[in-house]
Amino acid sequence: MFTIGIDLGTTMSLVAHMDGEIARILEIGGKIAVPSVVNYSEIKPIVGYEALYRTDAANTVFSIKRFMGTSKKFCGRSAVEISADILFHLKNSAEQKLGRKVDGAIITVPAHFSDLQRVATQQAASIAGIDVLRLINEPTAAAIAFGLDKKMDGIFAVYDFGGGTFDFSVLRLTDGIFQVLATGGDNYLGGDDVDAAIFEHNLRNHNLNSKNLGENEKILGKLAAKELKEQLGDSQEIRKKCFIGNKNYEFELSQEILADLMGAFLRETTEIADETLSNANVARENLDGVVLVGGMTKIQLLKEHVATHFGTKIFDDINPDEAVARGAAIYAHSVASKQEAAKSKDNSPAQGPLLIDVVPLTLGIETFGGGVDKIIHRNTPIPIVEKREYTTYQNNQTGIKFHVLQGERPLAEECRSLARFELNNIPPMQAGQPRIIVEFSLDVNGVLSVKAREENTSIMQSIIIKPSSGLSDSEIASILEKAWTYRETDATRAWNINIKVESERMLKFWKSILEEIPSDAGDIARKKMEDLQRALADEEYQKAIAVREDLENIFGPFLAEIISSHLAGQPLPCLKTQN
Amino acid sequence: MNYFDFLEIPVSYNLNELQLLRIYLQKQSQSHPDVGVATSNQDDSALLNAAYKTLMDPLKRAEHFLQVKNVNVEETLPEVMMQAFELQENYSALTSLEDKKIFQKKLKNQMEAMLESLRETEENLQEFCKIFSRLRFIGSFLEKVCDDVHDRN
Repeated sequence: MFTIGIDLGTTMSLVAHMDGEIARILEIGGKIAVPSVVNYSEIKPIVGYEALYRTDAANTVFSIKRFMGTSKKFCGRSAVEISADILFHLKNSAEQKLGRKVDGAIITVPAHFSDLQRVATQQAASIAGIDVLRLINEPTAAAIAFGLDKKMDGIFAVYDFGGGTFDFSVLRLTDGIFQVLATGGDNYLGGDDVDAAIFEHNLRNHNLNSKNLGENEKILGKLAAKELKEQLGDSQEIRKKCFIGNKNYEFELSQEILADLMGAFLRETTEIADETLSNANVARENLDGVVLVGGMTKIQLLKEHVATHFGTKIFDDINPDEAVARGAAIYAHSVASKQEAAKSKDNSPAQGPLLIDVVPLTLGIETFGGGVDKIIHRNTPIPIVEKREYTTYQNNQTGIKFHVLQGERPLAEECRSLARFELNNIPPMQAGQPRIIVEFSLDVNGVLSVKAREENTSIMQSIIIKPSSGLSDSEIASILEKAWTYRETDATRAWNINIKVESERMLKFWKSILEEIPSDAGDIARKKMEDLQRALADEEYQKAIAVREDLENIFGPFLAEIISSHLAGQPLPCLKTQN
Repeated sequence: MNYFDFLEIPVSYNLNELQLLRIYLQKQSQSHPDVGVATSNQDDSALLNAAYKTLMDPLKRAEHFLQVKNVNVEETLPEVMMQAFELQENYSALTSLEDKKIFQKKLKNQMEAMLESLRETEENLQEFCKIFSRLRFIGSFLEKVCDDVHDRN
């Protein structure tokens, strides 16, 4: 069984696979990470750098992960469908690159993702044709990548500050068992927010207002802000040109300004961290270390802040961008091989780590009067089954309405509504006579199903919580059907067509930037591009893949620079100018 | 369900938490869905989690211990009611966050002390039961205080 790990990020996504004992990041298009950006200007969705490069805001979707579990639509598509397009691109690229079918995958989600957001992610995977072994939490995945590297026992915290979300998890490591003690976080706190703050700060310096800017300009401006943030490093101050309207503006960032802009965000993260530690019953001084994960943790200032706050060893020697995907790949491989061993009744002891995670948010039922009866408390290890008994309030009451909620607040209206359902046909009895057992069952993916049963009569209702704003099974089926019309049903044919379409698109893209890479590389590239065209014409697809990989490696190192040179002034084809 | 039996440990309120952890992890490494064929183990693993969570928590463990011993805890002992009333009144008289935090700390310490005496009265079930019923109230009241303090922070 061949498995991969997918880190489906807010701004960037990564794929990793096992190469023997080592988890390797798969390079896609010559880069380790694919921007989680989709462009819908053509029949087939365009994902990644190419979508970003188009700077076609009207048809492009960014940071869709922030909208998982909601009913918002972008370019006429739901968040589930858009995420499915990203996932399909990742899986498809992995299959083409590795030359084998992916049988299963682990997809990571922020630890603080709600039930609805988890189900939405599962739906997206199923539309993308991915068999999901497990959803696992990002910080836990990072801990796996980290713990196996170090082979050490103790109590650790993972501080995961990514592009769109912040997670903090406390784990105990014992002989390869990763036991999550508590987790906390904010789904709407990420590097994106810092980029936006840097962008706004620079606009203010130039007396500009983001309200007067076109969407494309905002995208480019925020990208410039992100680059300033990433490139500042140890230097005191850096500058970058940014093209707005029809003018070049100089954007700048200094250590002081960055500290000022990040201050509030950092305080928020350490507050969440302290609360999570207290929920785990672990004192700061009892931590054996803090693992840093996520793009934001590369910032020197942040490292210092975290180190001072926790006063313990900071582990930043694993690549914070890659850890999550690598951990997912390791765990996917481990789960798959253990399940295979169990199936074949192999008696040799199963190898690999075991993960016992917790539910991030409390689950409950709305009570009479708008309160919440908490049924599964946050930080309870999963899987778990909990039961509660309820009864009727009025004589001869024949039905009961249930409102399933998620959140820590004491009032129902302040919690997230997961689902509503009714138990009907209760035989008329005196108030208080019926015995209605409600059972909450949470599986290893953190996905909830609820059953309600009247004990005297065995009338039963059961539901699996689906995002009320998400997609029904029939909707998913119809999307799948649509998807297959461009994915083709015949596997080999689909495979070949995919390679052809993908290659032709890449050729078009490379041609457009050929002049922008150094001429010696350009000469080799030109020759290789001819080879690729010939291979496609001759239907030699294996060869085409090999040549395409060479080309990816030639262009890969220059891509970031080319994109930023476009940012620095050369107007892009569809950039709106305003004055 | 007797969680002590399920985990194969003696029925006692005074248990060794480190030993409980070891047994739990050892059993999970055989029952967790990730180590076997998908669905068949979910129930065992869930039961293990429930048992571990219950026995690790001193209050829940006391409740379960009494249940296993077939002792009924009376819902409302008059003296507990009185105390409850007093606590509620004292707390609602506080206005500043600082005072509330001090109250919270005191309540926590009081709970610790009562848990200690619970450990010492395991042999005397009647007394154990009395302390437990007071503890149960203080525990849930403390939870409310914590939520309130958290909200005002």
